[in-house]
Amino acid sequence: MDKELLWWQSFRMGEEEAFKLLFERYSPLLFNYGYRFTREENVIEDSIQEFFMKIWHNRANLNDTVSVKNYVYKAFRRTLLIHIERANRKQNIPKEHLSFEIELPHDTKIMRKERLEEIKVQLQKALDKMTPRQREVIHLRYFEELSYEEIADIMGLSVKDLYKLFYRAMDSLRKNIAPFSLLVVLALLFEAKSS
Amino acid sequence: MVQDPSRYKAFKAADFLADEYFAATRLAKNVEDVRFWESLISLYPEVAAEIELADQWIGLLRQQPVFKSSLNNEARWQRMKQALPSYEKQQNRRHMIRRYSRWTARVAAVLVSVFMLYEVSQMGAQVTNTAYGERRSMHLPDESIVQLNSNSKLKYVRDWKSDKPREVWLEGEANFHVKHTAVKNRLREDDYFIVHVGELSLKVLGTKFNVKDRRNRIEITLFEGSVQVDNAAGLQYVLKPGETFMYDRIKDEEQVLVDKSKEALSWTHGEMLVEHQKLSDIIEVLEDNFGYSVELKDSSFLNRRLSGVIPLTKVDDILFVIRHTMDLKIDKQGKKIIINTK
Repeated sequence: MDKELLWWQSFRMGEEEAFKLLFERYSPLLFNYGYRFTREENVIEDSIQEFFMKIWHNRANLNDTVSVKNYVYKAFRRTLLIHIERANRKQNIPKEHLSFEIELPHDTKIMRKERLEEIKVQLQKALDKMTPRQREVIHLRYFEELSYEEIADIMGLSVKDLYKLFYRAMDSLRKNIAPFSLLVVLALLFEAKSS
Repeated sequence: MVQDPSRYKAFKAADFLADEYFAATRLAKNVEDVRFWESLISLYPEVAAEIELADQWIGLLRQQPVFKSSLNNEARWQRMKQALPSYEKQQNRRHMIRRYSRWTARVAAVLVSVFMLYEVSQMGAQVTNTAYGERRSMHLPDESIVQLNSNSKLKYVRDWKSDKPREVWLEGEANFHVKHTAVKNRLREDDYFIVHVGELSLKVLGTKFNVKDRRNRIEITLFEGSVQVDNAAGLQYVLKPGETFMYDRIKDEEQVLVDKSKEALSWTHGEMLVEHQKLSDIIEVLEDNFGYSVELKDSSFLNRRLSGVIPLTKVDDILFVIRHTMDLKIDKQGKKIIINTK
């Protein structure tokens, strides 16, 4: 059995050791995920704290789960969104506004391709043209490597709606990358020939 | 998962990125899948650059910088442990309140359903009662007008269906002005208006009439139109305008009189028209409409007669008339009236 699932089961029985292992495993990941929604560290930290206090307090009522990550992300996202909304209200930011930023690696030198910097700029531009929710799907799919079913569950969407959101993101990508892609192809072909 | 390579023949980078199989195999590489894409490139060399680009995109997305908090895990853990006791106390308190409010909600729900049951059991019945000395004029849903005399009760169903006759139930006395709803030359059951009084039912179209049910005697006086009186025993009589139908409920006897119309209508003007009427008739009004109990020291007074119009709005006015026209001594104590010789 999965190590995390064992922790989860022990934690539900009230074992603090297992709870601490889950805490240490997930709180940095949740901070990173939360950082895409807001740059206010206090809001993220308070959400992380409240999320863990909540599951500890309610541990006896929690279900056994297939994927700990799926559950943790889903429940944390809900808590975080409440905290963000509360913080936004203080600053008179409309309720519907919920951003999500994808930041591509700053240092592309660790990757080999020379043209990567250009590709990165183009991809970043294309991502910036997407809606926050479209960016979130892409992040959860390619960074967190979650399945579509899990992403739909985390974001509180039906799988069908999630697919729609994802394909709209891909359409947007196609539209905004098209003229460049030909250039890249030529460049790569040229590169391939010369090497 | 076996894929058909020709599917990917014309794929662009974005198509590869969107492709579930492609993404899945790039994220969790296994040898078999790697081979599939290699063979695809050798089959369709033109997709090589697109796959390359899609791979770079995935690489860029996967290597996003990981943001770190200024708090490390240990500090975060300590911070949470400190906050936990007050959080748990607060949650327990909230739980108690929630449980309490759930109980209140349950009690409220029971009360509401009892009320609903009562309403349903009444089946939308509309009841009007008048107190002693009170007279009330009201409009029925069909715009018919009913004047309800004191100490009387009129009941009807709140919404009259168009395919049923209109029906009301009366106790006491009322004057009806029924709206005529029948279309000319086409009379149907639902055009009737039926008054149930005691064991009688009065079937009418548009008419004006007075119904009085007091002391087991029902009097129906017709002013306009026609009224058909029925009872379950087969009694049937059609009144003509100006007639008064009197029915004795104890003896089961009926009698038709004429020239009582003015008398029957007088109460609606707040008067009592008496022509050669006995004192006993006035005493009935005092008892039935005003709720007094009248004591006579000498029963021979009962047959004394008087004529004229007595105002009915105030008991004192009625007593004043009796006192002076019949030369009697009258004492009023609360709800009791004692009549004696002077």
